[in-house]
Amino acid sequence: MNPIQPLDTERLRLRLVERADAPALQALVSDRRIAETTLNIPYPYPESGAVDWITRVLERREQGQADCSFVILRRSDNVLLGAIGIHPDDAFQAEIGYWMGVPYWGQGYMTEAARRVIQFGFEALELNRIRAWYFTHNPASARVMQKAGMTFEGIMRQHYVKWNKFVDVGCYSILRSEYEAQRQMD
Amino acid sequence: MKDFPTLETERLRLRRFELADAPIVQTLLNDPDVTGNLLEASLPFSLEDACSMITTSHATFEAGTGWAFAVTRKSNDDLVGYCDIQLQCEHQRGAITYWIGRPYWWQGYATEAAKKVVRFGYEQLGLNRIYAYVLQRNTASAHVLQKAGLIREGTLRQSILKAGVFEDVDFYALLREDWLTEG
Repeated sequence: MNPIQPLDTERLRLRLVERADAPALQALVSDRRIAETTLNIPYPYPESGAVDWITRVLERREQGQADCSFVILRRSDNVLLGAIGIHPDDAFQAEIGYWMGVPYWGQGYMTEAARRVIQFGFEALELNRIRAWYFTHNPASARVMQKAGMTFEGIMRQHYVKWNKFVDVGCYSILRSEYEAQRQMD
Repeated sequence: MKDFPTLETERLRLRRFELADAPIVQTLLNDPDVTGNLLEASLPFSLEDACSMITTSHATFEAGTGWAFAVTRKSNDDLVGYCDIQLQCEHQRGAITYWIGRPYWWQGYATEAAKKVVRFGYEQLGLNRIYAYVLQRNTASAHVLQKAGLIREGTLRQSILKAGVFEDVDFYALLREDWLTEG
Protein backbone atom coordinates (compact mmCIF):
# COMPACT_ATOMS: atom_id res chain seq x y z
CA MET A 1 0.00 0.00 0.00
CA ASN A 2 1.30 3.44 -0.84
CA PRO A 3 1.82 5.73 2.13
CA ILE A 4 -1.20 7.94 2.69
CA GLN A 5 -0.48 11.54 1.84
CA PRO A 6 -1.66 14.28 4.21
CA LEU A 7 -5.30 15.33 3.77
CA ASP A 8 -5.83 19.07 3.71
CA THR A 9 -8.88 21.17 4.46
CA GLU A 10 -9.31 24.92 4.58
CA ARG A 11 -7.71 25.25 8.00
CA LEU A 12 -6.38 21.77 8.80
CA ARG A 13 -3.94 19.13 7.74
CA LEU A 14 -4.51 15.49 8.66
CA ARG A 15 -1.39 13.40 8.47
CA LEU A 16 -0.54 9.90 9.63
CA VAL A 17 0.65 9.88 13.22
CA GLU A 18 4.45 9.78 13.72
CA ARG A 19 6.70 9.09 16.70
CA ALA A 20 7.56 12.77 17.09
CA ASP A 21 3.87 13.55 17.80
CA ALA A 22 4.00 11.86 21.20
CA PRO A 23 4.69 14.88 23.46
CA ALA A 24 2.02 17.08 21.88
CA LEU A 25 -0.51 14.23 21.89
CA GLN A 26 0.29 13.33 25.47
CA ALA A 27 -0.20 16.91 26.67
CA LEU A 28 -3.67 17.18 25.12
CA VAL A 29 -5.07 13.68 25.54
CA SER A 30 -4.31 13.43 29.26
CA ASP A 31 -6.99 16.03 30.05
CA ARG A 32 -9.81 14.44 32.01
CA ARG A 33 -12.41 15.87 29.63
CA ILE A 34 -10.97 13.85 26.74
CA ALA A 35 -11.32 10.58 28.64
CA GLU A 36 -14.81 11.54 29.74
CA THR A 37 -16.03 11.94 26.19
CA THR A 38 -14.30 9.06 24.40
CA LEU A 39 -14.98 5.35 24.43
CA ASN A 40 -11.52 4.00 25.09
CA ILE A 41 -9.22 6.69 26.44
CA PRO A 42 -8.50 6.19 30.17
CA TYR A 43 -8.04 8.71 32.95
CA PRO A 44 -5.58 9.19 34.45
CA TYR A 45 -3.87 8.76 31.12
CA PRO A 46 -0.68 6.68 31.51
CA GLU A 47 2.59 8.60 31.29
CA SER A 48 3.72 6.52 28.36
CA GLY A 49 0.24 6.39 26.84
CA ALA A 50 0.88 8.42 23.72
CA VAL A 51 4.19 6.66 23.01
CA ASP A 52 2.55 3.26 23.48
CA TRP A 53 -0.36 4.15 21.22
CA ILE A 54 1.95 5.42 18.47
CA THR A 55 4.06 2.27 18.76
CA ARG A 56 0.96 0.10 18.26
CA VAL A 57 -0.13 2.19 15.27
CA LEU A 58 3.30 1.95 13.65
CA GLU A 59 3.42 -1.82 14.24
CA ARG A 60 0.09 -2.25 12.51
CA ARG A 61 1.26 -0.06 9.66
CA GLU A 62 4.52 -2.04 9.29
CA GLN A 63 2.52 -5.26 9.14
CA GLY A 64 0.73 -3.82 6.16
CA GLN A 65 -2.59 -3.40 7.96
CA ALA A 66 -4.81 -0.58 6.89
CA ASP A 67 -4.30 1.78 9.80
CA CYS A 68 -5.43 5.32 9.18
CA SER A 69 -4.72 7.13 12.43
CA PHE A 70 -4.19 10.80 11.72
CA VAL A 71 -3.09 13.73 13.82
CA ILE A 72 -4.99 16.95 13.21
CA LEU A 73 -2.69 19.92 12.58
CA ARG A 74 -3.62 23.57 12.16
CA ARG A 75 -2.12 24.69 8.88
CA SER A 76 -1.54 28.29 9.93
CA ASP A 77 0.93 27.40 12.69
CA ASN A 78 1.36 23.60 12.46
CA VAL A 79 0.03 23.15 16.01
CA LEU A 80 -1.29 19.68 16.83
CA LEU A 81 -4.97 19.95 17.80
CA GLY A 82 -6.17 16.36 18.18
CA ALA A 83 -6.47 13.03 16.44
CA ILE A 84 -8.88 11.22 14.16
CA GLY A 85 -8.85 7.69 12.83
CA ILE A 86 -10.82 5.69 10.33
CA HIS A 87 -10.65 1.96 10.87
CA PRO A 88 -12.02 -0.32 8.17
CA ASP A 89 -13.34 -3.73 9.14
CA ASP A 90 -15.47 -6.13 7.18
CA ALA A 91 -18.26 -5.47 4.69
CA PHE A 92 -16.73 -2.32 3.20
CA GLN A 93 -17.32 -0.34 6.34
CA ALA A 94 -15.27 1.57 8.85
CA GLU A 95 -15.61 3.31 12.17
CA ILE A 96 -14.28 6.78 12.77
CA GLY A 97 -13.10 7.89 16.17
CA TYR A 98 -11.71 11.25 17.16
CA TRP A 99 -10.87 13.68 19.91
CA MET A 100 -9.97 17.37 19.90
CA GLY A 101 -7.72 19.02 22.47
CA VAL A 102 -9.77 21.03 24.95
CA PRO A 103 -8.13 24.42 24.10
CA TYR A 104 -9.38 23.98 20.55
CA TRP A 105 -13.01 23.12 21.25
CA GLY A 106 -15.82 25.20 19.81
CA GLN A 107 -14.14 26.31 16.60
CA GLY A 108 -15.53 23.76 14.17
CA TYR A 109 -12.21 21.96 13.75
CA MET A 110 -13.64 18.54 14.55
CA THR A 111 -16.38 18.81 11.96
CA GLU A 112 -13.89 19.99 9.37
CA ALA A 113 -11.62 17.02 10.11
CA ALA A 114 -14.49 14.50 10.18
CA ARG A 115 -15.80 15.65 6.81
CA ARG A 116 -12.36 15.23 5.27
CA VAL A 117 -11.91 11.75 6.72
CA ILE A 118 -15.35 10.72 5.48
CA GLN A 119 -14.39 11.90 2.00
CA PHE A 120 -11.17 9.89 2.29
CA GLY A 121 -13.14 6.82 3.40
CA PHE A 122 -15.47 6.85 0.44
CA GLU A 123 -13.03 8.01 -2.23
CA ALA A 124 -9.71 6.42 -1.28
CA LEU A 125 -10.82 3.44 0.81
CA GLU A 126 -13.91 2.78 -1.35
CA LEU A 127 -16.11 2.11 1.64
CA ASN A 128 -19.87 1.71 1.58
CA ARG A 129 -20.64 2.73 5.15
CA ILE A 130 -18.86 4.84 7.78
CA ARG A 131 -20.09 4.78 11.34
CA ALA A 132 -19.35 6.64 14.53
CA TRP A 133 -20.37 6.19 18.15
CA TYR A 134 -20.66 8.74 20.92
CA PHE A 135 -21.71 8.89 24.54
CA THR A 136 -25.07 10.56 24.88
CA HIS A 137 -23.63 12.64 27.74
CA ASN A 138 -21.46 14.28 25.07
CA PRO A 139 -23.94 15.84 22.63
CA ALA A 140 -21.15 17.95 21.08
CA SER A 141 -19.82 14.79 19.45
CA ALA A 142 -23.26 14.01 18.01
CA ARG A 143 -23.38 17.50 16.53
CA VAL A 144 -20.06 16.87 14.79
CA MET A 145 -21.54 13.73 13.26
CA GLN A 146 -24.65 15.59 12.11
CA LYS A 147 -22.65 18.42 10.61
CA ALA A 148 -20.45 15.89 8.86
CA GLY A 149 -23.56 14.59 7.10
CA MET A 150 -24.16 11.47 9.17
CA THR A 151 -27.58 10.07 10.11
CA PHE A 152 -28.68 9.02 13.58
CA GLU A 153 -29.34 5.27 13.83
CA GLY A 154 -30.28 4.72 17.46
CA ILE A 155 -29.08 4.51 21.04
CA MET A 156 -27.60 1.43 22.62
CA ARG A 157 -28.81 1.96 26.17
CA GLN A 158 -26.31 1.31 28.97
CA HIS A 159 -24.02 -0.34 26.44
CA TYR A 160 -20.80 0.78 28.12
CA VAL A 161 -19.47 0.93 31.62
CA LYS A 162 -17.48 4.13 31.92
CA TRP A 163 -16.07 5.00 35.31
CA ASN A 164 -18.39 2.56 37.06
CA LYS A 165 -21.51 3.97 35.46
CA PHE A 166 -23.63 2.55 32.67
CA VAL A 167 -23.69 4.99 29.80
CA ASP A 168 -25.72 5.15 26.62
CA VAL A 169 -24.00 4.95 23.26
CA GLY A 170 -25.48 6.77 20.27
CA CYS A 171 -24.88 5.54 16.72
CA TYR A 172 -24.50 7.53 13.54
CA SER A 173 -23.52 6.50 10.03
CA ILE A 174 -23.26 7.75 6.50
CA LEU A 175 -23.69 5.54 3.44
CA ARG A 176 -21.91 5.92 0.13
CA SER A 177 -25.21 6.76 -1.57
CA GLU A 178 -25.80 9.60 0.91
CA TYR A 179 -22.25 10.87 0.56
CA GLU A 180 -22.59 10.99 -3.22
CA ALA A 181 -25.94 12.78 -3.00
CA GLN A 182 -24.41 15.36 -0.65
CA ARG A 183 -21.48 15.92 -3.02
CA GLN A 184 -23.96 16.66 -5.79
CA MET A 185 -25.66 19.24 -3.59
CA ASP A 186 -22.40 21.00 -2.62
CA MET B 1 -13.80 -28.13 35.26
CA LYS B 2 -17.02 -26.26 35.94
CA ASP B 3 -20.31 -27.95 35.21
CA PHE B 4 -22.13 -26.66 32.18
CA PRO B 5 -25.65 -25.64 33.22
CA THR B 6 -28.72 -27.40 31.85
CA LEU B 7 -31.81 -25.21 31.55
CA GLU B 8 -35.33 -26.55 31.27
CA THR B 9 -38.50 -24.98 29.96
CA GLU B 10 -41.92 -26.46 29.45
CA ARG B 11 -40.98 -28.27 26.24
CA LEU B 12 -37.22 -27.81 25.92
CA ARG B 13 -33.98 -28.79 27.51
CA LEU B 14 -31.01 -26.49 26.84
CA ARG B 15 -27.81 -28.42 27.36
CA ARG B 16 -24.10 -28.49 26.57
CA PHE B 17 -23.18 -29.32 22.98
CA GLU B 18 -21.33 -32.59 22.44
CA LEU B 19 -19.19 -33.46 19.43
CA ALA B 20 -21.69 -36.20 18.71
CA ASP B 21 -24.17 -33.42 17.87
CA ALA B 22 -22.03 -32.27 14.93
CA PRO B 23 -23.77 -34.24 12.15
CA ILE B 24 -27.25 -33.03 13.10
CA VAL B 25 -25.98 -29.47 13.57
CA GLN B 26 -24.50 -29.63 10.10
CA THR B 27 -27.72 -30.98 8.62
CA LEU B 28 -29.86 -28.27 10.22
CA LEU B 29 -27.49 -25.41 9.35
CA ASN B 30 -26.69 -26.54 5.83
CA ASP B 31 -29.98 -25.00 4.77
CA PRO B 32 -30.17 -21.66 2.96
CA ASP B 33 -33.45 -20.86 4.71
CA VAL B 34 -31.64 -21.03 8.05
CA THR B 35 -28.20 -19.60 7.26
CA GLY B 36 -29.78 -16.96 5.01
CA ASN B 37 -31.20 -15.37 8.14
CA LEU B 38 -28.05 -15.53 10.25
CA LEU B 39 -25.50 -12.74 10.57
CA GLU B 40 -22.45 -14.95 10.80
CA ALA B 41 -23.02 -18.18 8.93
CA SER B 42 -22.58 -19.01 5.30
CA LEU B 43 -22.95 -22.03 3.11
CA PRO B 44 -21.68 -24.60 2.68
CA PHE B 45 -21.58 -25.46 6.38
CA SER B 46 -19.33 -28.50 6.71
CA LEU B 47 -19.02 -31.13 9.40
CA GLU B 48 -15.72 -29.51 10.34
CA ASP B 49 -17.53 -26.21 10.76
CA ALA B 50 -20.01 -27.90 13.08
CA CYS B 51 -17.21 -29.49 15.14
CA SER B 52 -15.41 -26.19 15.32
CA MET B 53 -18.59 -24.44 16.51
CA ILE B 54 -18.98 -27.02 19.26
CA THR B 55 -15.38 -26.90 20.47
CA THR B 56 -15.55 -23.09 20.44
CA SER B 57 -18.67 -23.30 22.61
CA HIS B 58 -16.71 -25.37 25.15
CA ALA B 59 -13.80 -22.93 25.10
CA THR B 60 -15.93 -19.84 25.66
CA PHE B 61 -17.71 -21.61 28.52
CA GLU B 62 -14.37 -22.49 30.13
CA ALA B 63 -13.27 -18.88 29.70
CA GLY B 64 -16.48 -17.67 31.32
CA THR B 65 -17.34 -15.49 28.34
CA GLY B 66 -20.07 -17.44 26.57
CA TRP B 67 -22.75 -20.06 27.00
CA ALA B 68 -23.93 -21.84 23.84
CA PHE B 69 -26.80 -24.23 24.39
CA ALA B 70 -28.01 -27.10 22.29
CA VAL B 71 -31.78 -26.64 22.19
CA THR B 72 -33.39 -30.07 22.50
CA ARG B 73 -36.94 -31.31 22.84
CA LYS B 74 -37.65 -32.89 26.19
CA SER B 75 -40.19 -35.28 24.67
CA ASN B 76 -37.74 -37.14 22.43
CA ASP B 77 -34.29 -35.47 22.86
CA ASP B 78 -34.32 -34.17 19.27
CA LEU B 79 -31.80 -31.39 18.77
CA VAL B 80 -33.89 -28.61 17.23
CA GLY B 81 -31.56 -25.62 17.34
CA TYR B 82 -29.10 -23.36 19.07
CA CYS B 83 -29.23 -20.48 21.53
CA ASP B 84 -26.29 -18.69 23.07
CA ILE B 85 -25.27 -15.69 25.09
CA GLN B 86 -21.82 -14.14 24.69
CA LEU B 87 -20.59 -11.70 27.32
CA GLN B 88 -18.70 -8.45 27.33
CA CYS B 89 -17.83 -8.79 30.99
CA GLU B 90 -16.36 -5.31 31.52
CA HIS B 91 -19.63 -3.79 30.37
CA GLN B 92 -21.88 -6.36 32.11
CA ARG B 93 -23.73 -7.11 28.91
CA GLY B 94 -24.48 -10.19 26.86
CA ALA B 95 -25.49 -10.72 23.22
CA ILE B 96 -27.89 -13.51 22.37
CA THR B 97 -28.17 -15.38 19.10
CA TYR B 98 -30.25 -18.36 18.13
CA TRP B 99 -31.44 -20.49 15.25
CA ILE B 100 -33.95 -23.28 14.88
CA GLY B 101 -33.72 -26.01 12.22
CA ARG B 102 -36.36 -25.68 9.55
CA PRO B 103 -38.29 -28.88 10.45
CA TYR B 104 -38.94 -27.29 13.83
CA TRP B 105 -40.06 -23.80 12.80
CA TRP B 106 -43.35 -22.16 13.79
CA GLN B 107 -43.69 -23.96 17.11
CA GLY B 108 -42.44 -21.18 19.38
CA TYR B 109 -39.20 -22.97 20.25
CA ALA B 110 -36.95 -19.97 19.59
CA THR B 111 -39.05 -17.77 21.86
CA GLU B 112 -39.10 -20.41 24.59
CA ALA B 113 -35.32 -20.84 24.40
CA ALA B 114 -34.52 -17.13 24.14
CA LYS B 115 -36.70 -16.25 27.12
CA LYS B 116 -34.94 -18.87 29.20
CA VAL B 117 -31.48 -17.68 28.20
CA VAL B 118 -32.43 -14.06 28.95
CA ARG B 119 -33.55 -15.17 32.40
CA PHE B 120 -30.30 -17.11 32.82
CA GLY B 121 -28.35 -13.99 31.82
CA TYR B 122 -29.97 -11.86 34.48
CA GLU B 123 -30.39 -14.38 37.29
CA GLN B 124 -27.27 -16.49 36.97
CA LEU B 125 -24.83 -14.22 35.16
CA GLY B 126 -25.88 -10.95 36.78
CA LEU B 127 -25.91 -8.99 33.54
CA ASN B 128 -27.17 -5.44 33.15
CA ARG B 129 -28.03 -5.47 29.45
CA ILE B 130 -28.97 -8.23 27.01
CA TYR B 131 -29.04 -7.37 23.34
CA ALA B 132 -29.30 -8.91 19.90
CA TYR B 133 -28.74 -8.05 16.26
CA VAL B 134 -31.19 -9.22 13.63
CA LEU B 135 -31.48 -8.78 9.88
CA GLN B 136 -34.25 -6.25 9.39
CA ARG B 137 -36.07 -8.46 6.89
CA ASN B 138 -36.21 -11.33 9.39
CA THR B 139 -39.50 -10.39 11.00
CA ALA B 140 -39.97 -13.82 12.59
CA SER B 141 -36.80 -13.35 14.58
CA ALA B 142 -37.78 -9.80 15.54
CA HIS B 143 -40.98 -11.23 17.00
CA VAL B 144 -38.96 -13.71 19.04
CA LEU B 145 -36.91 -10.86 20.50
CA GLN B 146 -40.00 -8.80 21.26
CA LYS B 147 -41.68 -11.74 22.97
CA ALA B 148 -38.52 -12.20 25.04
CA GLY B 149 -38.91 -8.57 26.18
CA LEU B 150 -36.30 -6.86 24.02
CA ILE B 151 -37.18 -3.63 22.29
CA ARG B 152 -35.78 -2.20 19.08
CA GLU B 153 -33.19 0.50 19.71
CA GLY B 154 -32.17 1.28 16.16
CA THR B 155 -30.92 0.14 12.78
CA LEU B 156 -27.36 -0.23 11.57
CA ARG B 157 -27.98 0.52 7.92
CA GLN B 158 -26.23 -1.60 5.29
CA SER B 159 -23.92 -2.93 7.97
CA ILE B 160 -23.64 -6.49 6.74
CA LEU B 161 -22.75 -7.88 3.35
CA LYS B 162 -24.73 -11.05 2.75
CA ALA B 163 -24.66 -12.87 -0.58
CA GLY B 164 -23.40 -9.72 -2.27
CA VAL B 165 -26.08 -7.44 -0.82
CA PHE B 166 -25.66 -4.83 1.91
CA GLU B 167 -28.39 -5.41 4.47
CA ASP B 168 -29.82 -3.41 7.35
CA VAL B 169 -29.41 -4.84 10.82
CA ASP B 170 -31.73 -3.90 13.69
CA PHE B 171 -30.46 -3.90 17.25
CA TYR B 172 -32.66 -4.84 20.17
CA ALA B 173 -32.05 -4.81 23.89
CA LEU B 174 -33.56 -5.40 27.29
CA LEU B 175 -32.16 -3.73 30.39
CA ARG B 176 -31.98 -5.39 33.77
CA GLU B 177 -34.12 -2.66 35.34
CA ASP B 178 -36.89 -3.28 32.80
CA TRP B 179 -36.60 -7.03 33.09
CA LEU B 180 -36.99 -6.81 36.87
CA THR B 181 -40.10 -4.66 36.66
CA GLU B 182 -41.70 -6.61 33.82
CA GLY B 183 -40.40 -9.96 35.11
